[in-house]
Amino acid sequence: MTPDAENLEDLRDRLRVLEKENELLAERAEDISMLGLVAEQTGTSSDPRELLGAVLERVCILKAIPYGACLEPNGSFLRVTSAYHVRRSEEASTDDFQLRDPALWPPRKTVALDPEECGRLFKRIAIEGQGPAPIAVALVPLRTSEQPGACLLFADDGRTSEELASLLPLLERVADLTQARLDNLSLIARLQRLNMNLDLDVAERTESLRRSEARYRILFDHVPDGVLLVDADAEGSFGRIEDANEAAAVMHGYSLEELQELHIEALTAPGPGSRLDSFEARIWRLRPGETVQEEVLHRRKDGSTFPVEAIGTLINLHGRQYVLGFSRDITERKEAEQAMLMTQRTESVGVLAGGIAHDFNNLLTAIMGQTSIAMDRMDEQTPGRENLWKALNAAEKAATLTQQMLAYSGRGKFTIQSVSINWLIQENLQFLAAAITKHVSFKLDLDERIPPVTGDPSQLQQVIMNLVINGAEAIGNAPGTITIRTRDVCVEQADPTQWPLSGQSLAPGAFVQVEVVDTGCGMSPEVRSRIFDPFFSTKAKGHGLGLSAVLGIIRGHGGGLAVDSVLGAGTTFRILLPAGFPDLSSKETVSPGTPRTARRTVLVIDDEDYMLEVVHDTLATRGHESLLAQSGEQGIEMLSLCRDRIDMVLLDLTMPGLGGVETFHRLRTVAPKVPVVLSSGFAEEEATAQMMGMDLAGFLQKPYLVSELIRVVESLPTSSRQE
Amino acid sequence: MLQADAQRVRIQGHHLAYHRQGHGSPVLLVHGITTYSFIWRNLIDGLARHHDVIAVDLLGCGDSDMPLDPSYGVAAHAERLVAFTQALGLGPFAFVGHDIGGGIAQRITVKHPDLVTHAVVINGVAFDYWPVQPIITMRTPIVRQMAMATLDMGAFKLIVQRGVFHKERVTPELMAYFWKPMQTREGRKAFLHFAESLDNRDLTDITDDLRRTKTPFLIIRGMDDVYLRAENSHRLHREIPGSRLVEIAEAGHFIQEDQPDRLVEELNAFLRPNP
Repeated sequence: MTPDAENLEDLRDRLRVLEKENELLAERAEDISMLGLVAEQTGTSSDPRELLGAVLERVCILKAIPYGACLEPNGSFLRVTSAYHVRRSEEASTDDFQLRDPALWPPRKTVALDPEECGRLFKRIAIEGQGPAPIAVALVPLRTSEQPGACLLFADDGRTSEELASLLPLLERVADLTQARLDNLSLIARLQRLNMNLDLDVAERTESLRRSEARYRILFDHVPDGVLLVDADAEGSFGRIEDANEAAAVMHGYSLEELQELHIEALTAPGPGSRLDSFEARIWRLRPGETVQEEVLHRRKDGSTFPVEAIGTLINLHGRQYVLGFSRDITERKEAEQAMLMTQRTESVGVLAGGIAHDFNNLLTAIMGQTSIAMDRMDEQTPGRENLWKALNAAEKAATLTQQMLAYSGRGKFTIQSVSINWLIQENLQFLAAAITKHVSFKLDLDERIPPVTGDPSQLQQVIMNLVINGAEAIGNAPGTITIRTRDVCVEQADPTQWPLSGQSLAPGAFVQVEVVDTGCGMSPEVRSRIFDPFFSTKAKGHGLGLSAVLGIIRGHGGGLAVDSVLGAGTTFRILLPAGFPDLSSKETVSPGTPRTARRTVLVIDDEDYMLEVVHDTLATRGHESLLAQSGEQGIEMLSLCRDRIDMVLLDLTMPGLGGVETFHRLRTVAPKVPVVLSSGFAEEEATAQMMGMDLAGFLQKPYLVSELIRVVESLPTSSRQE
Repeated sequence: MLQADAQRVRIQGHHLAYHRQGHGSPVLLVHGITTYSFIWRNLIDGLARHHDVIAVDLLGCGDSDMPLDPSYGVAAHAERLVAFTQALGLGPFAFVGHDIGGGIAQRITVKHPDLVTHAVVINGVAFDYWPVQPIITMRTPIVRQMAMATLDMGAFKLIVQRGVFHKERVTPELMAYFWKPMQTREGRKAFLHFAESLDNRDLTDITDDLRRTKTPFLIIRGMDDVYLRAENSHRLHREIPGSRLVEIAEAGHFIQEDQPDRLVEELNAFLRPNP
């Protein structure tokens, strides 16, 4: 060979070597690219079946292997979970693999088998679309956690087993990547299942909790009283309002959201009387199951306060301590209690006033009687007679005062008849105008349609007069106005808070409302609460009985009374009088005295000796005889003994021991026909009501004038002496 | 532009998809490997002004069926397309083939000379163009590269870019056309089956027939085609009597992307009836 030929041959050899190396490098690059594609697939696939299919395709295409599959053991058969055949369409395959000995599966390591070795392992290999049996088979164990028996199989009909064996390291790398991803996917699936179960569990518990919460919320929100859950976990002190119901929010003037942001102190009224400290102290001393109950003063959002009945107890909720409190607004109850107390006080004072008036009337009777007798025994010019006359006038004025007191106590003199209030006001307008100063003007707003009322016209006149005078005094020397207004109203249900001074007397029905409104100085709440107390007056010279009498008269008429006043602005008195057309009969007043008649013998029964004296002395001036008894028993005994002599009995109604009524009954058994004249410090209506059904010959209201006594005694016929 | 929906016709048990546009003498456009009827989209309007243009998807490509049993070799495609033209009722037609389509054009022309009025081979395969024997096709580097391209769009894009002179025209829209068949396993298998089916003998067997053909031939080559040697086109021009060779500069293997208007001009001129 020539040197040139040798060089050329050498160059050809080098070229062949370079081509071979180039081919190997290209193959190596392809392997790396293939691994890259497999890694990309294993990094993105989330479905195991799709992952296996993609991996098998990549290996088969890029390494020109016609068939690849993933097999899992199923007894002596191998189940094809995924397969790729380069020349087969994408339809479900019927590839079939059967082992001779299942114990030999899976192979312990990656292996390439020739046909003989395949025959020893597989009883049958049937690959759809494949003609003769493959020349070489590579088995690459997958060893996933879910399927430790899984294995990749690659069948090649173009390579020998030795040629296929050169691919085993690459196939092992592919299997490693695939197995890692499959394990991840099964772990993810397991976590997702757990998560789903957890989600279901959470959903179920959440729903159960929601239902429980909803139930709790319904109960909580529908409790009519305010409910507060107050944090009490910080030792020794109350804290934030953790929860509250709608009733608590409304009660305090907050929205629910606002209330749940507050500290409990925001709801309690500051200063003495709130009793929160007492409440709190008692809470901390509670034992489990105990509660504390207190009346405390709470504060609304607008700053106003109101009384609350609070009940509290300590509870433990989710490891934290709370105060569970119930609060009830007792404003109405307190107002009703106040009204009742005022009524009871009024009634007590009324009873007292009535009792005092009654005794006072007796004494006045004696004073007036003896003074009259003394004056009768004097000539007109006798020195001292004028003084006696002044004393008698004073006693009569005292009698007027006692009438006011009796009126306040509801036991004044009554003459029941139908009264037109509008007519009463208009008829007495001049008297009303005369009772007030010129600075004060009148306004009348009288509804013509109002019905008449049932009552005593003079008593009602006294009411109007007293209220007008009171209003004028409140206006004082400044210009002002007194307005009198009448309306008809229908009261369906008497509200004691609206008519606090009515006591038990206000029944539903038709009424006439009278308002007396002044533009005077008004009253403070303290003064307003006492104006109807007898003898209470804000004026230096006032005797304090005017408004008391008003109250007594209105209650005696079964009406209602209320007063509203603003200090510095004026006062409004509101009166309700029952409308109606009673069966009226007016009682006769005392008629004038009669001329001297035949001598009478009068049995006088009265527990007061001064009354006995004055009656005796008075009758004696007229030549009448009096038999005096200081008790009912004594009187009955006297009547029994002197029945034939006695022309009439003058019986005091109110006596200790055997009272006037019982004495009357017993007198009637002794002398059924003896005339009995009742004498009492109370009004005739009340007195004779007690003697209902009994035949009385007359009535003398104390204090009575001597002339009235003489008239009653001498008006009886002499033939009335008992047999 | 091609119509949105392709028409389909059943040929030998499988459907072939095609786009048809225009009026006049029929012109059949046939693509090559890695493409389908989309490759003609920039030419069809210009050709349809004067001709009844049919752009067909070969079996296993585009919207046509993709069975793996039939052969996808040049001879098989040629016979299948004869049946296709008969099914459409086409009379004699002009055949314009690119790449493998150019090889099919040669085979049909020599085997069915009465059917083809004109034959155009654009960057076409010829003679012993294919560097491998079928049996070991899958293991040869060129095919493995193509196989890689079916799995990796990046690799595919390299193939396309090497085949286009004006690289800026390799847009995402163009790659979407190329990549569409590779998005299914079926499409990938069909592509590999196409590569595996190629056999030089389908064209080497007709060398003598080419020398005797009387059908007018136009041979067009992109001077920057890196996939097919210039010698292929030059030898065709030498062997085919009366053939005309046009070499276009600044044009790669996918000359339809680089010089569509020039192609339309050349084709219309070639296909114009003689006065």
